[in-house]
Amino acid sequence: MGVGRFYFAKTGAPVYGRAQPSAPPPYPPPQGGREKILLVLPAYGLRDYGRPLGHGLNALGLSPHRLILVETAHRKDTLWAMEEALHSRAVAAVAGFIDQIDLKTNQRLQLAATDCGLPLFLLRPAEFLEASAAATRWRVGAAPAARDRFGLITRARWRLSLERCRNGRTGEWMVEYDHVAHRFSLAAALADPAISRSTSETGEREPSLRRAS
Amino acid sequence: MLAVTGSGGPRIAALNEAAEAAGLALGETLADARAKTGRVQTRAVDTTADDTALRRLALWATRYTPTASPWGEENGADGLFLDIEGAAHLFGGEEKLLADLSFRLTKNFGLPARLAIADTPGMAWALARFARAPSSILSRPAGEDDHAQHGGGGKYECAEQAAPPPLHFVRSPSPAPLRYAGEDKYVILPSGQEAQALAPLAIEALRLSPDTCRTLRRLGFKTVGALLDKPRAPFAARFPAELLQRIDQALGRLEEPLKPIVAPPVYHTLRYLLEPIFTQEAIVALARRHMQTLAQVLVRDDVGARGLRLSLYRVDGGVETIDIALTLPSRDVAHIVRLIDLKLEALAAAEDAGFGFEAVGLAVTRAERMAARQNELIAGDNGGDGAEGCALLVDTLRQRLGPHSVRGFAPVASHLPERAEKLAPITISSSLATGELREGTNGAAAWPEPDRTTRPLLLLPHAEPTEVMALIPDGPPRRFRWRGVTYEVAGAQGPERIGAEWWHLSAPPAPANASARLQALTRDYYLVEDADGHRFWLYREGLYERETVAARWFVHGLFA
Repeated sequence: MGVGRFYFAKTGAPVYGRAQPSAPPPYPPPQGGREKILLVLPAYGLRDYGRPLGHGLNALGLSPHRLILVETAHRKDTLWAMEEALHSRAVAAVAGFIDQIDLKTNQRLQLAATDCGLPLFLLRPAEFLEASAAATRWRVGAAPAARDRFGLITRARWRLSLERCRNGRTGEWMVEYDHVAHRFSLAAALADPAISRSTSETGEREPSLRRAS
Repeated sequence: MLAVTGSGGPRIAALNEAAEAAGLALGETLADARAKTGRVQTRAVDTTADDTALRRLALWATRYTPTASPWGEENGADGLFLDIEGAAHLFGGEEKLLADLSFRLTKNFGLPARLAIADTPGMAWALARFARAPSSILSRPAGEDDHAQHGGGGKYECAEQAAPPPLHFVRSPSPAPLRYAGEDKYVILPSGQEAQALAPLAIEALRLSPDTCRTLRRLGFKTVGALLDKPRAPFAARFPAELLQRIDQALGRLEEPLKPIVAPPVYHTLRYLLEPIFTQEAIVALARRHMQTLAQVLVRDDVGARGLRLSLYRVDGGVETIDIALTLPSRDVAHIVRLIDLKLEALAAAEDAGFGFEAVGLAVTRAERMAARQNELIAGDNGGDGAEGCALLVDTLRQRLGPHSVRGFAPVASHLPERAEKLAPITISSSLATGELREGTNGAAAWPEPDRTTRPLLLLPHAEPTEVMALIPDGPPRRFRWRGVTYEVAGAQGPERIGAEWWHLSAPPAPANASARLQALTRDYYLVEDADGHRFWLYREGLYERETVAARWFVHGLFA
């Protein structure tokens, strides 16, 4: 098992920047109280993968106080909590760790996310790969970090691949976190100029949620 | 039947009427009792069960008044005080209340309780236990208002449940003559007659410690009356403070605060039902009506509820309570009813309603200021204000998933990574709710600037031991094995040395105490990357050759 390899089945509105590069993002930027991100984690997920560390999130530019951590006992509660959060429309995004999910439940979540206009991220462990109703599926993997000439890690990197995308092309990218600018960007050395034109925005969003897994 | 405790040989701790009739007394040794009667059945005293039973009874008694307090769990736990001030008229007077209480105690619990009403808890306690016969004092004519009342419990039959007899203290302000109802059942003492009523009672009626009682008896003070007209100074000098304090408390010269079993609510509604109800729908409908009643009061006082408690009184005497905590003060009937519904769903899975619920009460246990505000004309499609919508969501999730399930991060000033932050219940500040902006405990300002510190994204719940191969004992790892997989280290960065928090160690670690030694060890953290780019956070515990010889390695966190 590769540590930290997750699939992202993202449902809801299409990935912006990809299908219509010039269109405004379909998610309204966080405003007022709708700045919180809800992360639903079942207890067994916490046990196996550890829990998110606030200082670690902080170091990657996501302020920890925006994150609401919901701990559930089993899968049914996880699904319920995610759906409840979507319908309340009180948060900016919803993410949840789900190991197994059937297609029908998946479609139900997809519909709820579309109706409410909120991004929903299902964080899946790498072992599970089923048919999904999600609009996109991302796979986040580890990648050797950028190092300076003394061998010190300068920028952490992740390998990001879009394996499935409704109305769009799939692809693979390497993203890195820039400590100075506090943002994710494509790793310069590996970026394919043909792809990088329109995807830097996307790259910014995905790993920031992967951190929360 | 006897209940027996063991101190200096088994002694009688409680006994039933049959045993009392046979001439046995409390405190006798079991051997004596056997010699006297020939055959006795004994059971060991189970104090935990006693406490539980008394607590259950006290909870049940909140159907009469919100302030029910079990008497001294530390000294025998054998009675209840009920503050019935302002509650008696709901039952048609003190006498009716006592009759109802006594009837239900007998019917539901099989407890022939003794009850007394007096102005002060101490007085009620004394009367319930020591006012045996309708003596001249007790048949005294009527006094005026403000009675306190106290119920004393008689013996009970259940030997297994060797619980001491319950007492009930109730307090009410209605004018009534001193009465002595048949068969030692209950006493109601009119106001202002404490001294006369107390005087003929035995000295033990003052709730003194056994030592003090013994000394007083040796000195010839057999009744309280003998003490009352004596000068106070010699007693104050020769006896513990409790003597005068108890006298003053019984006579009402000194305030005696009762410690209620549940915090008395701020607002409270209670409804007795003609027919018991069983179904969740019925409870929810009733809760809705309660909440509508409460909402009007809340609006009048410009407050919103932060905490609520729904009490369901079962026909068989049990009480189910459902506590509801709200993130922001609220008067929203629909929201609160939904929370109750969610909780009932979880409750229904765990237990059945038995014979049904005969009374349902809803109480606001915590209230906070909440400014009045105009309702939105358009039904909000996004749930109104963001913070408020978020609070509603948090309430809902918390209600179903448990009070500690929804949390946010709060930084803590500590170097140890596992202590450097804690998961705390979410605080959402809303300018609407309080009229002023409150700063949440986990504001962004408290987090350090995101600099180059290496902290992992995921922290394992417990640092997991790992086998590490390193070139030199205090060098970075070359290869390690974790969860059954061997990782070749491509690059390691560190160490970051984090010392133990010695100021948290209460005593200097003794060499023999292994756990204390583990706590005190220094850790060297390395950020380790394998060839595939998986990044781990490893640490070595103990400084080589200074704190330990065989250093142990742990995986503590994951980066990618």
